[in-house]
Amino acid sequence: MADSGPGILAEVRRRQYGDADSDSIAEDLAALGHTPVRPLDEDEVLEHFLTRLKTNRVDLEVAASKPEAVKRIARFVYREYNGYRAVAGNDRRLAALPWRDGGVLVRFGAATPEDAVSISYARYGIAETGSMVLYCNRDNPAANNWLTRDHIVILESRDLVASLEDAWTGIRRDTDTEGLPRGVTLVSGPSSTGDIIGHLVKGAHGPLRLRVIFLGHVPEELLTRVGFETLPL
Amino acid sequence: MKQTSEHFLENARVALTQTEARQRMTGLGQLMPMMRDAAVAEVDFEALREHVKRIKDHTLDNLDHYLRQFEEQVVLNGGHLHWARDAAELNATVLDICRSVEARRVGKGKSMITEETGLTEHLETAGLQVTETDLGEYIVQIAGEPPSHIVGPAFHKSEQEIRELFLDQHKLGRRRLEDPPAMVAEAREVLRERFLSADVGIIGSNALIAETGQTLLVTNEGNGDLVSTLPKVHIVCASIEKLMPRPEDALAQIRLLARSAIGTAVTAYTSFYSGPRRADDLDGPEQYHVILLDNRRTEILGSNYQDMLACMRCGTCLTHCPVYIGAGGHAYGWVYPGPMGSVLTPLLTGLEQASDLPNACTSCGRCAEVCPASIPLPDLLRDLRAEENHNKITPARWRWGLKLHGWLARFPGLYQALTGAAIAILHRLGRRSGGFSRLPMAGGWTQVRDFPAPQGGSFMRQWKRRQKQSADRG
Repeated sequence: MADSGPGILAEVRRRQYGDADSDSIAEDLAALGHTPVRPLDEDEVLEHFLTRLKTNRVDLEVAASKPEAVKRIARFVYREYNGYRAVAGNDRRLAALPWRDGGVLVRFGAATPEDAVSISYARYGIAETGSMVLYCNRDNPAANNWLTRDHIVILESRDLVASLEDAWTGIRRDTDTEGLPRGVTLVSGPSSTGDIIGHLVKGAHGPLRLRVIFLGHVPEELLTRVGFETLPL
Repeated sequence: MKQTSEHFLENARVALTQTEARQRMTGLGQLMPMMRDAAVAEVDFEALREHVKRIKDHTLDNLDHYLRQFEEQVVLNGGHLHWARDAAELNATVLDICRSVEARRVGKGKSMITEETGLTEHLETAGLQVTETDLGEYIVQIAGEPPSHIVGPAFHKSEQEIRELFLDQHKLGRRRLEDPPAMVAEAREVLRERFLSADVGIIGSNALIAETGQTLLVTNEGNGDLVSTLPKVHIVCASIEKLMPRPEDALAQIRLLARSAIGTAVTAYTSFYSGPRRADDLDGPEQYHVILLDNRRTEILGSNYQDMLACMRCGTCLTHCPVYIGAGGHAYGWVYPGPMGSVLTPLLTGLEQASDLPNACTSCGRCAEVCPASIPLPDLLRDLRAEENHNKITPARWRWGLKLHGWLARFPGLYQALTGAAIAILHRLGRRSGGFSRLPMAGGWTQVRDFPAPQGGSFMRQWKRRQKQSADRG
């Protein structure tokens, strides 16, 4: 087939207003800056994040340590499926968790339609939107984000950032060392749809539930204020 | 898709007689603006949209630079970039890719571009099985209807209509499907098999990032992500104006897009894709293609209508438009309904066959107020009407009427005297009944409602009186 690219580009060039060289374009762009949003204060970040999670219909558990995180995952999987199995990517941070001691049988790889529970380890959490940043790569195969009924995402408190732009600063840093992953996804809730008379239903095609295991400390009073239950171990 | 925009008036007339559908649309026109307003109140909407407009203007002013940069990055990331001058070229390119991998099944995410080119029909004619996987798109696909809204394609259908459709089309035996969750669960099961068996996945894109070569996909269902991941070939169809220079610019747009479209700060999934699976990835497509469509957008670039190229397809102008809510999406007769469609359809398909659309406007200005891309929609609609008049597409008696009005407006004294006299006569004639059930040259109005008798003199007379009163007080 004939390549229409040169013709379209020439037409664009002829019709567009600008006629600057690359350097001037880069300067003009830099001068435009980034979004004018009020940055969150440091002491607002956690509460804002938790509030967004609640709005986004995300389930939350707080774990003070990695062994506790595993135990909480084990209890959830057993309660929901009367089993121990879950699938996880080849993220080193996931591999280093004490699964056996905690009672979870993890298969490391990409989710298949038979897998009910997948576990991911977030690169970043974003307070502004209540999102978890996940890459689609060897560490976290894309199928693990969308193919299972339950998606569990572990987020370390130190990886929580305030804004979308803050998260992208981290993504740029990662990309510089690891290369650009095939996909960068902000997961902000369970799969949902309002396509039948605007009635919001969870679990359209992807996970019915999104469960965040927050590794760190959250004051009990804050959890209650936001509307999350404190689940005993 | 077959265009019926030239029958807008007839389509709208039929839609207005469908009482139940009208009630649903009225509900939509109340609910969606309420949700949008609450979400937008969280941010400085004016500052955000001004910023996004500056970025978009800069991008469009230097579009060839960013298109070239994007092409380089896509190739660098291991993808293939194709250009399509028009609908036929895009459809042919997709079919070529499908044939090159001997594909039989295609899974599609929601893409207005492919609605524009009629891709599904083209592929089906060539013998491929094509499944729309966005639930709303799937519903209208099995119903054999076009979408009625760019965000909620099946907003026009009732719960009972969808229930009957599923019971009829899914051969799954006796069942009740008592509520929307039950219907969604059934669609999930039926479509899951389609996701897993698709050879090719096709999606649209909310933005193309020049710096990184990424394509942005915003969804709540996750269907677009599944078709980007499971099939061996991933095709992204997007139009050339979707470029954004940096990822941060797309993030700025996301802040406005989700709030305007569905009244939330963010959708469940916001994904940036950039190529085929990497060497050590455990899943993902083997091939990644991006097809950039022109389809007359270069004609809009640099014209008086360039602002329209900033449209982010949020659909908020639709649910804020009294004409859209009254007439429904199908009346517009093509892919894009409502105010944005009334501008875009004539520009992409020709003013002659879509000439009713720019006139389907009350000039209330709500669309421009809420547009996150700062598009002056009423101004563009007015300019299109002026073009219709100039090109003699407007009926002769309208043109003569406009000409007379234009001439009269050049003589304010005479204008005010004549309109004042007309109002006085109408006031006197309608004093007893309070209105008119028939009026010469206003049959369109009085056919469906009475014309109220004017009260209290012309606007200019009242204005002068008020100014005089305040001067006397001052």
